[in-house]
This record gives sequence, C-alpha cells and structure tokens, in this order.
Amino acid sequence: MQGQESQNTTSASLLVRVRNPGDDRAWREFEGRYSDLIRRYSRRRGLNTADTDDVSQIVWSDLAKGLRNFSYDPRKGRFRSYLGRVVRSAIFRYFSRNASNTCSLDSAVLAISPDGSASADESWETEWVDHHYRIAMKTIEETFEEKSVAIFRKLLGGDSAEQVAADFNMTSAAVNQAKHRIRSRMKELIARQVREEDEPDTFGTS
Amino acid sequence: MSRTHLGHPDNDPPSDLATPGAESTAELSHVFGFDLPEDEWVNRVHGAVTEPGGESRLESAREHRGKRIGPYELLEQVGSGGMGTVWRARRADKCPDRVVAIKLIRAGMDSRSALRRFRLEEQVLARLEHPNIARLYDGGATAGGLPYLVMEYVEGKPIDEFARRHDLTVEQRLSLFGQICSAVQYAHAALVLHRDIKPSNIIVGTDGVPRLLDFGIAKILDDAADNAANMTATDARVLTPRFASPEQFRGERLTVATDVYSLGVILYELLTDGSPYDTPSGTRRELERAILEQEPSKPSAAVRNLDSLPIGKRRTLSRRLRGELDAICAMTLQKNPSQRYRSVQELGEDVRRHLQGLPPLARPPGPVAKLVRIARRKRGAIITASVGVALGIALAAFYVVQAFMVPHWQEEHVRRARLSLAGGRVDNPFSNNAFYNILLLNGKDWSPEELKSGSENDATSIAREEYMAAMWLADDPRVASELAMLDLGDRIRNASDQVESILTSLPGETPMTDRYVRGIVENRANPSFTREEFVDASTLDLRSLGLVAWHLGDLNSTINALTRLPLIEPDPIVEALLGNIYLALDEPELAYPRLLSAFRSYPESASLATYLADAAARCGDIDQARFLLDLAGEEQLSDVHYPGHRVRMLMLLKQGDEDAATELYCRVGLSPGNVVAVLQMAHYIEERGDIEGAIRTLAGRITPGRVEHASRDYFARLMEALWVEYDDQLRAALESSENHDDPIPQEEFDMFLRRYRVAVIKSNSQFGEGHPLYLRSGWATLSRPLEMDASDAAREQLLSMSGHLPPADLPPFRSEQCGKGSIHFDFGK
Repeated sequence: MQGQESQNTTSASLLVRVRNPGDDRAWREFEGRYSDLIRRYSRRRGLNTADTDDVSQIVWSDLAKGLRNFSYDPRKGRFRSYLGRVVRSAIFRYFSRNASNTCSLDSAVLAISPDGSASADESWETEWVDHHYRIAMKTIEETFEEKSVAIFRKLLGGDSAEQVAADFNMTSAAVNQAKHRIRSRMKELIARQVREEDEPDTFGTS
Repeated sequence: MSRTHLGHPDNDPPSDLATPGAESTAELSHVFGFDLPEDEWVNRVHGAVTEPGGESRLESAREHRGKRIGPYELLEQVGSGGMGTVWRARRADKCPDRVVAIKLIRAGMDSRSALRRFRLEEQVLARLEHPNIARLYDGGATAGGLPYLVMEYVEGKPIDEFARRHDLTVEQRLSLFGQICSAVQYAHAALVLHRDIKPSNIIVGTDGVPRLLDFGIAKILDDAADNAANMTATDARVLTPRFASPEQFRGERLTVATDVYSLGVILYELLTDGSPYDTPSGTRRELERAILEQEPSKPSAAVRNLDSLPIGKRRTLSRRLRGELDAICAMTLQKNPSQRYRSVQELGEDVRRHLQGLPPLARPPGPVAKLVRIARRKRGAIITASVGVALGIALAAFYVVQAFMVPHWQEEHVRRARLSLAGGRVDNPFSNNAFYNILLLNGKDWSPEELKSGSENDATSIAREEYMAAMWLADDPRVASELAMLDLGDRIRNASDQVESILTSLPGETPMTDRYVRGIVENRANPSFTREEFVDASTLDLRSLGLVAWHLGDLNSTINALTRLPLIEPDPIVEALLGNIYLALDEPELAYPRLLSAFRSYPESASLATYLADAAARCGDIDQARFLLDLAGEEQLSDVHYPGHRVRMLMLLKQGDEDAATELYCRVGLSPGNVVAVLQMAHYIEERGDIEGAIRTLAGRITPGRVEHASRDYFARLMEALWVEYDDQLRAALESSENHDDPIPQEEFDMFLRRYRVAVIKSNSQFGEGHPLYLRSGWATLSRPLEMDASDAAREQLLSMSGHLPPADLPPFRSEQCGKGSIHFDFGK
C-alpha cells in the first residue's frame, strides 16, 4: 500500500484521472475511496440499507456525469462541498420520486433544503472529517509498525498511557512518543489528502 | 516523510502549508480537531474510526444490539452524538411494552472526565420535571462499566422538520417555540443551562407537544468558575456550531444568554427555513466567523429569497415577519450576551405577546443604558470625562459593527418606549395620563403622593429604559427631549435635584426650554415668553418646551409651543398631545385629525383608539366611536376607571338614551376619583341648558387635597360662564348644596374662587379676544400643579394684581347631595 500512496503523489491525482472516461481503474479507486463516506452520510440521515443502496446509485451516476462534464470546477469550490451537494440532492430527489416512501422521507429530508444545497450542514462536515481520519488510519495501519498501531488502538479504546505502558512492558513516555508520532503522521496524511482533493489539477502533475 | 516522524505534532513543518486557495494548515488543524487537547483528540479519532452504523472494522455499537443493559433490552440504535449512542429499549423483566430511550456512553469516551460529565447530566436531568422536557427515569452502568441513562422515549420529529412537514403557519410555529421557551425557562429556574439547544434536541411528539431532549452538556449554573474552565475545551468540540453562540466560540463563561441565543437561531430558522448567516462554503470555520462577526439578516428580508415559496407567498410572509418578529430575532441574536433578552422568560413573553397582538416588552441592554444614565446625571464632573471617553469608544465601535442596524433599532426602541407609555392594550392609567392623555381628561385624579409613587411604575421605567437604549444607539434630540420630559416631571415635583442637574437632561440648544425649566425650579413660577420668542424659536426648542410644559400640566406653554411646530413630517407624539389638548378643550373636530394621525403611527395603542373614539363620539359619529372602542379591545368592565366607560356613557347621552347613560354613570361615575364621567355628565346637563345643575354636579366632586384639575377647571369654566350673568344663581346653587358628605371647607373654596378670578384676568390679558383660549385660558393656567404648591406670598401677590377679588363674605360652601343613583338636579329657582 506504500505503493498506492506514492502512486497518488507521483502521477496525476485521482480526481484528475477519474475525469477520463476510459480510466476504469481510476473510477474503481474513486468509488472505493468515497462510497463509505456517501453510505455513512446517508445512514446518518436516517436512510435504511435499501434506500442507501439506491441513493448511492444515484450519487455515482450524478458524479460520473458531473465530473466528466466538468460541471465540477475546482476553482469554484472544494470537492467536499460539491460532493455534499450531490449527495444531499440525490437523497432529496430519491425521496421526491418515491413519495410513498414517507416513513423514511421524514428523516431523510431533515436538514436538506429542496434544492439540495443546504449550507452549513455540519453532519456532512463531520462525516467528511471522519472519512479522512479513516483513510489516514488505514494508511497508518499499513505503514507503521504493528506495535505502534496496537498501542494507538489501545489508547483509542480509552486506556490510559500508564495502562498501555504496563501491557506492552514499556514506559509511559514511550507510549506517548508513539502516540505523538502517529498523530504527526496523521496530520500530515490528512493535509495531503485534503490538498489533493482541493487542488487536483495542481497537485501531483506539477 | 522522515521529517514528519521527528516533528512534534504542534510544530509541523511549514511544507504542509496551503497552496494558494487551499485551507491553511491552521484551518485544517481546527477542522480536524488537531488543536484539541490530546485526550479529546484521541476521542475524536476514535469517534471517526468507530462510528456506529457504518461498515468500519472497529465498529463497537453493533456489539450492543439485542444486548441487555441492566433490566433493559436494547432494540435499535436511534441516534448518536458527541456523548455516545442513543437506543430504543424496553424493560425485559417487567412491562415489556414500556419503551424507553437509553443513552449509552461511547466506549472511547470512557475516561474519567467523560464519566464525570455523564454523571453530571444524570444529576441535572433528574431534577427536571416539566411537560416539555424528556424525563430521566434511571441511570446506571453496564457490566462492562459503561454508564447509561434511561430516559423517556419521545416518538416524533425534530421541530424544524415537523414544522416543514405539516406546513405550519407562523402562529403555530411560534406557539411551539413558546412551549420550548417555557421548558428552558423552567430549567433555568432550576439553575440548569441546556447549552446545546438545536432542532434535533426538540422533538415534537405525535401528540403535537414539543419536548426538549439531551441536557448533555448542561451544567449547574452555580458551578464554580474553575469548573467551567475545565469544561470549555470539551464544549468546543461537543457543541453544534450552527446553534452555538458567539461566547461559546470565544470560550467565555456561558449564561442564560447562551440558551437565549440558541433559541434565537431556532426561532429564526423556524420562521425562515434558513440560517441567519450567509455561509456559502458551509465550513465550520466560515460558520464560526459568521457567528462571531456577521450581522444576521432580518427574517423578513431572508424569506424574500426563499426559493421554495412562490413570490406572492414570500411577500406575504415577509410582511408578516417584518417589525416585531424581526426585532425579537435581532434581540436574541445579539453578539453581546448582555444585549440579548435577559431571560428566556422575557423572550417567551414577547413571543406570547406577539401572538396575542400585543407589542413586545423587550428591554434594551440594561448595563449600557445605566451607564448612559449615570453619565448623563454626572455630566460636568471629572469622572464623566473618562466615562464619556469610554462611552465614545464603545459607541464608535458600535457604529462600525452595526451601522446598518442602528436606525432600525433606534426606531424600535423609541417605538417601544412610546407604546409603553401609551399603554398598548394594557390598562395603564398613570402613563396614559402622563403622556397621551392629560390629567384633565382621563379617568382618575391623582394625589400628589400617587403622582410621585406612580412615577416609577413599570411602564414609565420601561419607557425610560427604551429611550435610554435609543439614545445610546444615536443621539437624537427628539428622543432626548421625550426622555427629559419623563424625568423632569418627577424631578421637579420632588424638587430633589439641582437645576443644573435637571438641565443636563435636556437635549441642548434649547434656550427657551432651559429658561422655562430654570424658572420653574428656581422660582417655582412659569416664565412667560413673548410672541417674537415663539416665532424665532428653533423646532427642537419648541418641541422640547411643549413636551416639558405638557408634562407639568402647563397647557398655555404647551399649546403655544406645539402649535407653532412646522409639521413637515409626521410626529405622532406631538399629534397625540395636541389631540388630547383639543379634547380637553372640548374641540373634538380639531382633536380628531390629530389623534387619527398619531393612531396611524401607533395602531397598537388602545389608549389612542379610545381617545379617538372619544373625539368621534363628541363629534356625534357614534358608529365610528363604537368601531374604535371595539378596536381598542375588550372593556375592562370591572375597572371603573377604564376610559371606554365614559366614552360609552357619552355615546348613550348623544343617542338620547338617558336611562342607560345614567345607569352607567352611577356604576362608574360615582367612584371616588373618577372625575371625567362626572365632567361629561355635567357637560350633558349644561348642554340641556341647566348650568346650575352642572355646577352642582361638579361641586360635589371637588375634594381638597387632590389634584383635581379636571373638575376644578371645568368648574371654573362653568363659573366663568355664570359669574357675570348668574351671580345670584351661583350663590343660590352653592347655598343649596348643603348636605354633601364631605363638604369643602369654606376657606378652601374661597381661595379657589380667588385663584380662578386671577387666572381669568391674567389669561385674558395674554390672549386677545377671538383667540380660542380667550375664555378658557384661566382654567388652563390653574391646571398647573405647581400652582397648588405656590407660596401664600406668591398667591397674595397674584391676588393683588387682579383687582377683581370675589366678595369676602361669600357664604359657606356646601356641595350638593349626590345621592347614589340619583342625578336629578332640581335647582330651586
């Protein structure tokens, strides 16, 4: 997976490549990266699994059109805002079409304005942040030594540095150092991920 | 990459800094919580990678599904928040039909601080019992040590969704909102702040009753400040930015004003279906900046761009929101907590009043208004200079930030002040007297004690606060003179202030007003002005003089000043005053257009509607009078001083229904102090040609020791009519009124007659023949309350000027018998 990361940074970024209709591999990669975010957001909006599947279909179809017709213009706004609008709009349209599906509609329409462009949707922002943490966490798990990752997961689980230190037979200072290293790395990874998302044309190709 | 491994997280290499147009590292750090304390950051990451409901490998919530927690069985997860997850559950052992909500703390937050917070929430909730607050039933810990709360399960929709889905009217939305206010107000009374009020925490049940959930970050108000400091960092993460107050972002101490603010955002969103702030990108950072710096747009303006409504409906809605609801929202969304409603109760009260068609009572920023007041009182002293400078700086800053809102707010404050004085639909006889209706006219005569104590009644102090607030927003000389008018009456009457201190209340550049006040305070006498002085005076000076003179009951100066005002633009205060003066002068045709103009500006004022009805009735337009009385609102039947009674009596008299009028008169007119009904009955009797009967009616109402301008003045006018031609009859009338319960001492009556004569002579030398006041000026001069307090020496001086002293051997005065229920005046000729 080290390779995948370097691929992202050395060749044209994913958001640039995915605009090429012939690049199926880029599209699969793109789906792999964002489907979790889209599904989680839909679930958070109260959609059940079946509705989430349907909404995801709509989102992917919209994205395919939008990205390849360049209706998404990186100069006009962040990709995450664009994606948020697409998802909210998809949810709204899905339930507008299936008006009989009222029981889910109630929760789905929550926080979604009719044109799908609800501003200040903090839950989208939260999901987006979580999404990047998950990607970064995955990279960490794949690139850091196992012990550091295990220590970090213990800490995430709520154990104190002292407890973890005792479990791994090391000092608390060493535990904290491992945590700091992962934290620093995460910060860098996230900055990179976000930058790639926001500046697909300038990043990687220059 | 190797560099990163070495770097401390807080000292990241600048290589990560943004390319142009991208977010800076600092911004990203904030969005991703890297600026949180490490413990909190760890929780944040844990939340991200273990979010339940998704497909993460680290999912933990799923483990709980179907599990037993204590006696409860978890059924399904219904939500998740900063604190943990919420489950629908039921008691497995008994009452399995009873569904509850269980809030389960997030495994990753199983730290001591989170635990403490959880326990706090439990304690707080357990104390709250209110129909609009979800109950806490139980609390405990799972076998694994996870704390949980068992709460009332509220089936329903978040308030905003409920409102949209049912297409609720503005009134219905406000009604829901009012219930929430009562819940928050109740919690505040129990020293509990909610601190995270948002629509998803307000669930409207199937019964249509809204309930407030999740006092998740509530804290007990009397927590020590250090406790509050401990929790601030956590709050920053837990709070919901869209509904968070500026002080929450600033990390300041939170007060009830914080909940007021969040309620304000909810009210705003309920009314407009949109956010008060314009945040195109919708990032938390942008939102935070907007909440801290951006002036919210008015709801009435916001709905004009509401795409979901047809244009016609947008306009209707905009008109519906304009004015009071705009003002209520603006008051709740103030950046500075001290400028908001001081309590949720005040906010709820204003919403309730709005729903009832009453004007809002919203009070302006208290401390600043007080500062202004102090600064004004102490002007001249050295300390004032520093206060003034500080105030100047504050004002300057204020202008910069709120330049666009100032005129609107100022107008609103002045409006509230005037309405408070006018009484709105609330019966407020003193204020009516003091401001819109002359002491001569309105229901009750006030004793000097009552006047003094009444000066600090609610309406007056509210008006004073409002005027102060308006003055604080912009130094408007008109407002200053209205404010001065409020203060001057009390202060001159109480004679407790030095003249210089009183003069500082005046707006400045008002030489005539200054001289007038100085004359009264220092010499206890009315200064007189020449015709030329009136002609040359500035508009502001004339207006101020008129208002001050009016408040002191000096009709001559009031009329002289106000009738000379060029009425370029509508000035409802001047119109209302002149209208009432003309009513007092029994010139209803002149009064009506003046009062109508004032009423158009203040249609909420029941008093103005009543006086307009009075004018209409006197003009003989009974239908119009009835319509206006209905408009003024429900009659306060039990209150004998309600001015509508006498208007109705007058209407009955005009219609010739003497029996019904008599019945009403006996009910309200015989009450001690309700003079005007007596006056009108006397008028009626006079109009029938029975001047003597009128005098006897009035004579029975004159009681020493009270400020009975009305009866005294009208009596004087009748006396004037009789004096020359009916001297004998007058004597006879006085002689025949022997059996009154409370006769006026002879010397008192003597003195009254003397003063009356002096006044007539004085006024007739002041106004030429043909002047509308020629005959009446005498009683007008008498009406000034100060006259009563004038020294005997001054009185003698006046008397010596007259040369027309009444006979010294006037027979003892006896009021006629005013038998209860009897108004037949068989004047023995």
